[in-house]
Amino acid sequence: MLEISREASGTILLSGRFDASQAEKAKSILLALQEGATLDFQNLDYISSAGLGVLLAAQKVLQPKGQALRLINVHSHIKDVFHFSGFDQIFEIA
Amino acid sequence: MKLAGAFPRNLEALQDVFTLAEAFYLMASVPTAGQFPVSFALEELFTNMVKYNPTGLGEIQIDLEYRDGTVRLDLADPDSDPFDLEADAPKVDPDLPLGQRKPGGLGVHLIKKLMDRIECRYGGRTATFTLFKRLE
Repeated sequence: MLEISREASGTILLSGRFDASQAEKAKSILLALQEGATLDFQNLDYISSAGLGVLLAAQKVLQPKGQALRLINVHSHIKDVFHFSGFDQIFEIA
Repeated sequence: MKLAGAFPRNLEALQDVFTLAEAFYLMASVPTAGQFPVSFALEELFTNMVKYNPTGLGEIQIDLEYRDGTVRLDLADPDSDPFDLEADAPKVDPDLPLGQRKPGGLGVHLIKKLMDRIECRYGGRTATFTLFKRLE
């Protein structure tokens, strides 16, 4: 199960598992963003290509507006996936 | 240590696939570092079978084994056309910029990066993928 919440600071917190069964729910939230945002992955344990696809689609929506998603607190095994897919060149990972 | 299950061909079964995997990790004491790549490969192959062969007959069989420091993962679709993960999956260029990225092939690309060995077999309409991850 994936939970998505927004903190008072505006940071979007993702928790749990971002798998294919959660992609539609995430899409409805992340693709509706009108401006860039920071996504906090501290409590995100897992992501699959379905989750990566949602993040990529959201970044594509934001790019023409000069906006972007920025990722923080990414666990090392998820960082590896971003590296192997080249997503570390597409997303700022702090 | 071995654990196996058979799952209906729909995305709703994905949670049950993960439940099987988590029971396997616990029973076989699979190191934490090895659990992510195995779960990732399981999801990608299972969802590909669901997505690209929705009208196939029969359930998808999953077998997990941990022996001598290596996880072996078998997924078998009993009613499938042949598919070779090396030859047939779309190629992914990880250096492409955002604007040129298209969906497709990323899951298999990452499986190849995360797992140590992949074998594909086909016979009697059954397509079987066997993957190995060395953990020790």
